[in-house]
Amino acid sequence: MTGNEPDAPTTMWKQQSVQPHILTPQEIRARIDRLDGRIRRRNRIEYIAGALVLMVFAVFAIRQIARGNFDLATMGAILSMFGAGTVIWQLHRRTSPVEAIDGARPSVEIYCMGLRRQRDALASVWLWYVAPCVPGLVAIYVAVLLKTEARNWPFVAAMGLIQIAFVAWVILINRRAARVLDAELEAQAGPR
Amino acid sequence: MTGANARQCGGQDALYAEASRTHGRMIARLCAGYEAEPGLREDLEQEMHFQLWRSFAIYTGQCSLATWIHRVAHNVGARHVDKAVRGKRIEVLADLDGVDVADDRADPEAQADAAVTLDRLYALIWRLRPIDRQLLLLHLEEVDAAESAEITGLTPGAVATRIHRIKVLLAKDFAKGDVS
Repeated sequence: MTGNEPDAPTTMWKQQSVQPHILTPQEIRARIDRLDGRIRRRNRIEYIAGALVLMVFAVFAIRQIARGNFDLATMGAILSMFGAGTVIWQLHRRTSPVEAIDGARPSVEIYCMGLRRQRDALASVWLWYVAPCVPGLVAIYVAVLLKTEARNWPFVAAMGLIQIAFVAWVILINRRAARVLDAELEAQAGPR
Repeated sequence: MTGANARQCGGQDALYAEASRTHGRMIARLCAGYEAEPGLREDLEQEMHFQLWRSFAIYTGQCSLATWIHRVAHNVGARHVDKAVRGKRIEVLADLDGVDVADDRADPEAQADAAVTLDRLYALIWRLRPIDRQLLLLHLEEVDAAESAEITGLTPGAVATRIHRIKVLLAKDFAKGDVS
């Protein structure tokens, strides 16, 4: 305790009327079930989305190879499969459910650790979310461009530019969010 | 559930029962300090209790039960605030040096009223960044500086500095108290 006489706000604070809501064992089990259900749902969505993306590229690549066409587009499809697989794995790894809070560690340390983890993930979106898809996309665009008549090149270029703008926007909003977390971390770093 | 799991859960349940019995009211007050909206506050309180229960699976007496409870509860609160700021549900927060206790509703006489004072105290708490908010809440819970330092991981010097600022703020805006 402080050892000083409590001041008025302290007295008022402790004397305010509160009704604690203590969880019953049934409520705890229900929350565990809800948490497990959320994890299962999330995993299912990830696996289905991943399987669909991989299947589309795999079917295209297999058909091309079966026809003896191991061209740039086929390479692009195979690279895109690796890219999509990497992104799905990274998403799964980085958004895994938060473990139980370790009360053995000081609260500021755990709080800052969480902020740092989120900031790093957001700031490096270009590396683990965008970069793995770039080789496949570039290969596919070049393949499409080579097969397209010159008069349709502006259309392909426009599609490419839209894609680049979208990717830049994704990187930008994530970097902005990372900067907010950075500011919070700097504020916490104050006098330690 | 295996025998070992059942035993572990039994310990976890017993620890949670003791924690909620001894600190349930403190947790409820803490939630009010971390969330202004009553509906969301109830959710936060349940989340704090659930995270506390989860955390007891790894509690082996590394620190006192009270320290453990404060650390876990404040972390849940800080994450909640952080999410609210990033979701733009609440505005950007201030630190102890930058916060003011704006109150254009009450005249000096009305400000002496307990309910108004408590409202103003909440208005101040809700404006603070998580760490300063944690220290203010610990101060209001009459946790001493050494224990606050142990809970937060801040140095005793940093805690003392911030508590001094808190006392100045409280003395200036809420009571004619000693700030030494």
